[in-house]
Amino acid sequence: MKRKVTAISLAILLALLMVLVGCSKEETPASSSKASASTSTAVAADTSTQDEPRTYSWFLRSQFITWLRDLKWYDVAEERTGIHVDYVEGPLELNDTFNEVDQRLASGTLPDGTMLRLAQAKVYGAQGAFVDLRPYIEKYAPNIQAYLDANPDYERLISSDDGAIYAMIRESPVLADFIGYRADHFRAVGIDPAEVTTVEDLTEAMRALKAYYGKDNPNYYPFSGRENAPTRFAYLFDAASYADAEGSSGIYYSHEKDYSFDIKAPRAYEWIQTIKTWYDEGLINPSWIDGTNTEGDWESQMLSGNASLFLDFYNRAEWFMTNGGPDNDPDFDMQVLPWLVDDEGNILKQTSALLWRSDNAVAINASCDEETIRTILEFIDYFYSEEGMILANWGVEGESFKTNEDGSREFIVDYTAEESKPEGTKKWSFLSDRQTVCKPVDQEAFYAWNTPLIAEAASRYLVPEALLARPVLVYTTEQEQELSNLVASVYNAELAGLTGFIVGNTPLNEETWNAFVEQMDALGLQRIEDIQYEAYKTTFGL
Amino acid sequence: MKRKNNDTRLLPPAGLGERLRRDVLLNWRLYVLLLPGVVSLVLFKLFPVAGMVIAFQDFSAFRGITGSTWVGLENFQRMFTDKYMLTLISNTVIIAILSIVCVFPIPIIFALLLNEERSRVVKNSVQSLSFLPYFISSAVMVSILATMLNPSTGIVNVIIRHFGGDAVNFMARPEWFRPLYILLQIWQTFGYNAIIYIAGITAINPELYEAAEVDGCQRWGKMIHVTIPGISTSIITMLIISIGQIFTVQTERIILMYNPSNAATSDVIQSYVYRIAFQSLGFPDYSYGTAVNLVKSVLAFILVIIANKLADRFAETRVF
Repeated sequence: MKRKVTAISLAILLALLMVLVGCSKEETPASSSKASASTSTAVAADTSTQDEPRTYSWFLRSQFITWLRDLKWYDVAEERTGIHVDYVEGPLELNDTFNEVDQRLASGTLPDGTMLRLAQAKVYGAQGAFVDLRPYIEKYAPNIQAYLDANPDYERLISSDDGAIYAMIRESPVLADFIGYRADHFRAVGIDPAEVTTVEDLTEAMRALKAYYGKDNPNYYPFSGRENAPTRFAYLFDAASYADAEGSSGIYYSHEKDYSFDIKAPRAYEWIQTIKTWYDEGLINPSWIDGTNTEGDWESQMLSGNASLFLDFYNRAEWFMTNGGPDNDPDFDMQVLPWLVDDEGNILKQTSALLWRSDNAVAINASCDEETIRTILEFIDYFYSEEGMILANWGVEGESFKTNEDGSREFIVDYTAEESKPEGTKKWSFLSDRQTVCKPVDQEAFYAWNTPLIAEAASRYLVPEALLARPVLVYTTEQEQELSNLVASVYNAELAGLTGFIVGNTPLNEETWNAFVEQMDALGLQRIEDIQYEAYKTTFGL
Repeated sequence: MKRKNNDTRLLPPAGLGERLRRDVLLNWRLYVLLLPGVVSLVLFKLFPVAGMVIAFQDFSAFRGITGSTWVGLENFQRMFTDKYMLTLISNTVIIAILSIVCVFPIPIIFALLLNEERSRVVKNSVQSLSFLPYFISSAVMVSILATMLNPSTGIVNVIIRHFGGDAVNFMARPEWFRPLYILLQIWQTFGYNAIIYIAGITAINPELYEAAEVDGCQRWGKMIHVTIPGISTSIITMLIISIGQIFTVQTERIILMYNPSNAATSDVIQSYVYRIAFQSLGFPDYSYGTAVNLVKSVLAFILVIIANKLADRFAETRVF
């Protein structure tokens, strides 16, 4: 009988536990913010005299937190402001982090502040989830206010349809991809990189490399890379997507730099025909074209000598030099190829990142009280002050940089030594392409903080005349919502169609190409272009 | 216990509520044992179904179900006017039909063949080994497949090259997507699904086999005239369940195997819904994703009803 009673009690307990677990909520970090906020209310307004730092909680992708914790300048910033941020770890992947913001909103567990997409902030902000920062910026953040005044484009971008500011966006460096090449391979084959100036020269160089290295190695393909191969080369044929006073073509929304292409461009057909030639002749890695070459595959191909060229992130050439290249092969020598030009010698202009990217936004939970809002804004505001900008972009004078007699600044710590420190070690690092805090970017410092190979290439090639105009467009929430849904189906369909032409699943001729363009228009491409053009006209008052 | 049941039968006829009360009083220990399962079912299976109401809303994660705006059938209208939906439905249905035609019979055949094996050691070993892939995650399984089929280093292409052929990037060919998907499905599930049939075969009365032997049946004869009819109820039940899952493809496997080259055959309703709901550029459209899923579920439910009726009519067996 006793055993029966025990068994029954256990069964009931189990059932009750399940009910409790099912119905329970995670402890709301925002509630802890109330506690911290009340603490912050009690402290004096003069931060320099505080014993205990003011605190608030912030939701961030876990990778970003790892980066932040290693930064020496970040510690100095917390010390100088007397404000400490308790970071709440999000998932490893960026998209998962944005999804978790939704889940935390639904479950009421969003901390005091969060990273998110600008679109999320606008939609949920209008519904009351986030603080309208406009009045608080005016009251507590003079440096941010000055930045808004100096950048009306930025203010328009972050303002919602109702005029409120629910989020701010950090600045991004002007980034463009570089073509990296194995200089030792070029030397062995007898190719002078200075003579590779046009797409035709590049094709001939690849043919020579293939003949030399591919003779006995079936796995050798001169050009390799990761993700969306065909789209990376569109700019070489003046076929990047765009929006300007004349109109808009291709998917520009969220594809201003990466994977920007326009199938209606006059030379779009030639672009795909050229890639197809490369594919048919084995000049480009077929797995890259197919979409099955992972980042690891590509890195392995470059390091093992199964590829000689790539088109990727600006500092990747240096990455290969410091991540096993010379260890695998003492002759390994990676360099950056100059911009290619057309037959008339004009630079083939490259797409570049927007100064303000919509996936780099920060917002404050509407459940925060005014003192917490003030604390958060004062911390962000510090990075918009002259002192804060110098700290976040150059570090501490005498420790990480010096000021020359002509007023220019120069790093006095070694890039390679600092960046190669293992994770968990404090270091000086100024990789402003990484999202850490919401702040402006000193472009000069960003490129100075590189090895001579990249710093020199950036100073030569990242010049305005080599970059396509990438205007920041302001969309209404409704426009952005429609674009978001259309792009989800049209972009993949376009990419699948282009890949089909290149690999031969669909014959490539004028007739099939025109049918493909019509099909994409019917699927929503035309509508996307119309919305982008409308947004352009609104943004620039046309 | 039996006497009490008989006693109950002797009582005057009572209403459902009264009968239930008496049954609970009589078998309360069994009902207590049932409780955790029922609570779990209600909390995690039945209760979430109510969440599908967001298909009729412009759902906001912040406002929740009670605060979101009602939009009626707008999401369904959008679905039926979505030009891409036809391609998605066609890809989904083809994969589902192939799954039933190719995957469904394999565990039955496997169970029948295993039943013919006389050595208990061999039988148990083979059954255990066939069962193992069920516990391998889709991510690992697709990685194994991709490694084996790698155009440069994969064993399959090494063999093809060895015999003078050209390497084939199987994972990137639209015509190879469905066979590979089905192959993985078979590999992963045939051992697990066979257990149901093996259990059914074990329950067949051995006297029936003896009678068949007397009637002159050999191995094939016994299999056809005794074993298969003996597990026909299990087969039909499993078939009806499979038809109910006709639109339910393995989303994570599809997403892992999807790439621009094979998109013509690999993009299905679920991968599209995933993109719309979780990979959009800032506007996760949970309501539209739910609407698509709701239509899919309703169609699957209708198919289950039809399959159940047909089974009842032609095989005199049914699930409900």
